Amino acid sequence: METIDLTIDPKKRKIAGEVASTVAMVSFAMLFGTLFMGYAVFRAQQVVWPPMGLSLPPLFYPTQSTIVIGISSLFYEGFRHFVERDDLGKAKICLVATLAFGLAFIFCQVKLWEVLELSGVYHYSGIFGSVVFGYTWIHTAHVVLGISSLLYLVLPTFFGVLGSANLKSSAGHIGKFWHFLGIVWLIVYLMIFLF
Amino acid sequence: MGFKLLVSLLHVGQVSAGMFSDFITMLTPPEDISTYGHKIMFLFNYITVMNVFYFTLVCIGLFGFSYLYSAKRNKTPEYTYGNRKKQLKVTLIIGLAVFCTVDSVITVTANNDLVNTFWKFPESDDPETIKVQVLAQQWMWHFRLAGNDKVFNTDDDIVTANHLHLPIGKKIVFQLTSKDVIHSFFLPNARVKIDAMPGRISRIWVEFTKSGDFEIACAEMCGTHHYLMKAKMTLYDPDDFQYWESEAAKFAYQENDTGTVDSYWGWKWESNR
Amino acid sequence: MKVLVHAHDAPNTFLSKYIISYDHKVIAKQFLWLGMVFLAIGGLMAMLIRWTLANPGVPMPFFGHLLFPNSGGVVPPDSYAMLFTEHGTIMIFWAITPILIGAFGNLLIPLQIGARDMIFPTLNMLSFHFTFVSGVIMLLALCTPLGGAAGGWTAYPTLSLNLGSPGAGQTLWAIAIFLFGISSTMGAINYITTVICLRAPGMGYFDMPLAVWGLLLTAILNAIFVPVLGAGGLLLVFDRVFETQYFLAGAAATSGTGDPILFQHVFWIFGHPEVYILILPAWGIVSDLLSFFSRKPAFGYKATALSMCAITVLSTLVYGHHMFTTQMSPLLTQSFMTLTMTISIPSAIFFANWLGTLYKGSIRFTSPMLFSLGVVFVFGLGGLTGLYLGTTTTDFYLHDTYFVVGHFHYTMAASVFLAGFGAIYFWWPKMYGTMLNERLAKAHFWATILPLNGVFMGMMMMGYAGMHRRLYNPFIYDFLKKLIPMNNFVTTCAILMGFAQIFFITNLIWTYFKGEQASDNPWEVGTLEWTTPSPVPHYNFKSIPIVKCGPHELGNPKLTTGRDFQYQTEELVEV
Repeated sequence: METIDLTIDPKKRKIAGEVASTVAMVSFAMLFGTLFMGYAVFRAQQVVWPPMGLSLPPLFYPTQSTIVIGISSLFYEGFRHFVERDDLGKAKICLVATLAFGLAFIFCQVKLWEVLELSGVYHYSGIFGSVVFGYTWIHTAHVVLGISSLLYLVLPTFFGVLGSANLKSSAGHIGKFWHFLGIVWLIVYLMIFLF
Repeated sequence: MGFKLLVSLLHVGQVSAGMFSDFITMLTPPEDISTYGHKIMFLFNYITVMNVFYFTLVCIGLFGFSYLYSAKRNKTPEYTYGNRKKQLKVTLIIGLAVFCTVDSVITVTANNDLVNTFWKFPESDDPETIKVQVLAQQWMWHFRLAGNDKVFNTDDDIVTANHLHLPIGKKIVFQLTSKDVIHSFFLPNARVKIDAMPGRISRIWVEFTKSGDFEIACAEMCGTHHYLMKAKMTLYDPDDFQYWESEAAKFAYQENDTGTVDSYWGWKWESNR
Repeated sequence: MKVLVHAHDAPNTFLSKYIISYDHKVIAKQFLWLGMVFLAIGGLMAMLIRWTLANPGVPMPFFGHLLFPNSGGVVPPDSYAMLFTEHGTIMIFWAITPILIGAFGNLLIPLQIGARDMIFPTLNMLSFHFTFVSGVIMLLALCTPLGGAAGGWTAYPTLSLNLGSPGAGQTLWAIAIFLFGISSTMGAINYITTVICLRAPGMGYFDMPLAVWGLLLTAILNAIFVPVLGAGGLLLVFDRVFETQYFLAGAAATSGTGDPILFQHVFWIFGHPEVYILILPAWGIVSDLLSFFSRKPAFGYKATALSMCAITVLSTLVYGHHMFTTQMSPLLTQSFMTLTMTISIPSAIFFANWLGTLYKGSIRFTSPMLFSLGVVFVFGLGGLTGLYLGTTTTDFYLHDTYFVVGHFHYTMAASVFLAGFGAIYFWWPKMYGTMLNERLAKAHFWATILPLNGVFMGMMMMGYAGMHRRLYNPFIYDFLKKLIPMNNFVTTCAILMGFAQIFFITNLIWTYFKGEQASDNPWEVGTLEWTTPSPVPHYNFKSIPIVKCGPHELGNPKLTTGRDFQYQTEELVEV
């Protein structure tokens, strides 16, 4: 039986990864972009925001979430930095820290929801509650997705299963997504909570 | 023999002409009784003429080339990608032709019609206009005329369900909203429709030219019994309308239920934007 | 160092063939059959709809008592609403998309650009699984106690909220659409990356067949705009399941209300590009087939490709013409009308190029060619009638009438399915290694296209006469009573068109048992897939081909090979 050459130029492979992850990011950005467009419409239609005599929720948990997700992004950058230099020992620490702060972010969100409900904002009571809860739900769901993809990095980082080149490219792609989630949260924080 | 043939041919011609005219009647839109319906119909006819022209060109190309250049008739195809200059020329000519005859004419005409007619609402304090508030719900129409005091949501409002009474020769302004789902207020005889949406007020104006009974339809899918959501519209001569209005106002005092809040579904007339 | 890609065994076992299939050709077949099954379901629903419209209140023969025993065989009004909703949704998302984009996208992209497979076979497999699961959910929704979704395929709130359609059906509908969106996005990522990265050496973008161009642009639109629908669908699910109030307004909203019109904006931001998502692959395939069977190069290849790009860009800017009757701000209305009109220019160039390809060709009237010519005719009608609807004032009259129904069936249903059938007849030898029967195929074409025009032209005429959409019984209205004969005519044509598909099914069965073995290149065409044996072996090419000329090198008089075409792997013979 004749053999068929199934290989591909690694450079091409790398470009493919970049293209695919960029397209995926565009898709995610369109999803959240639509939500933000909706938010702008809702807000423009109300005379006062938030409507129904509600007030903006206390900033403690949203701010804490912002800081936490920011730190996790920083740790992720550290992780990538060390992976690029094949310093897996430090990379492991950074990855664990990223994961920990990611989980802490989810914890902050749960707390935020509790606080909101205590202050009388429910997801079924008017558009303000719907927006605050719905948008944070969708974002948190994506954070869960992000954490699962971080877990995908655990095996290669700790046991070197995929090889260093693969780890580097995966770290790059997942990093895009993780930072993207941070940026989305920042927009949520600025648009919905701060102003 | 020849004579008989001619007669029978004439007969066939007559029958088919009759069928043809039946066919045309069947496909004629409902009678236009508005002052502006002809503008829509004019544009429709203009587009039709243009479409027939361009589609004939396509068909000539499609069927003509299929006939002339079938493999049987034309053994050797011409090997060309289209000369770049020629290509550019063709592109330019077609682009310009379409732009000048279709796009610009339609856009400009439609835009003028919108600005000068369809969006040109009579002043909201014009006493000559009739104001109507419409509340759509699954699956019926409520109409509210302001009554003598010209103010909505008062006891002399004339409220009717599924039956609208209006005069001809006067501008009528509708403000519409919906209680539950989105409906669409369709006046086939005036060639216009506008959505009635929950949570917002939409507007439309119309002036009728012919009295009689006509139909109002809901044109937006609004649930299982969407098809039953039709209303009757009776148009009167101005004098008859005044008579009807005064009679209806008498009933209004008796029939308006001051006890229930729900019967005051009207709103303060919104000024034109 | 080289990296191994898309290494997977040849699909030999049942499992690897039908369930865990990485091979793009197998996935293409899976998509094709999924699409055809849903096409049949959607088609039968159309028959029920047409029967009801022509004979409201009359029991349906044969199926009536089986399907609607409680009403004595008559389609009840609520089932009628479900039927037209599911017909639209199924046809668009689970029939056209799998056949044109799923099946032919998967089959053609790697084969025509000279790749061994898609770049991410696993993603490809998942994409199919998501489509399959979403389709099953869609059908299951029909079995819920209150029945399936019944708010029209556009699912405008507040009708699509709990207020207007209680029950799990509409929720499952929205979830199915969301899952389908995930599948489409995954497919799009795969297609775009494959086209960008796996083109064979020597193949520039302007050496790709136009079918690949169409599929690439479709994938780009998919990647950008399907997530928009995803967001809308997600909020709809939230509104239904968690009782949030994004789209709730009016008496049912307690306070601080949401905005039902927002959903329309979101839906059509996706929905208008979706029209082009569906039609672009068809355009590409038809452009190629016209050139192949005229035996001459595609006239103005670059102009065609660039017009497709222009239409792709424009399609994203015109969505508002679906919403003229919602009274958007005047500025929006005017700009959407103007932008809509500009689409006619690239479309006209398109048609000129198609006719230019036919001009002085040597046309072989094979079945794929007949279907392609049919598309030119049908899409001409569909495109031109779009002018009435893009014009605001005529749209005031025609919006939500059967004119719209006729128009979009011409563009989205007729053109796309004719192109799809043409593609099936054309590429069947590459998929299965047998030739479909030409005579039956031609019979299928004529038996389809004649009643097809009867149906959709009839619909447009009824719309002009004022008949609006989605009516269970239009003859409640006095001004529509005269249209009973027309409705009968349209229904008769629709039933004839339905029966015409028996030719196709017969053809498939006949070919399965008696079909003749296809030669490697039965149509004498030079694109890369025809350099491989029929059916295409695992991994497609023995060695990755090196491309030396464009896809439409036909009829070159200087050819000395004895063929009238040259393969893309051959050095271009200069004239």
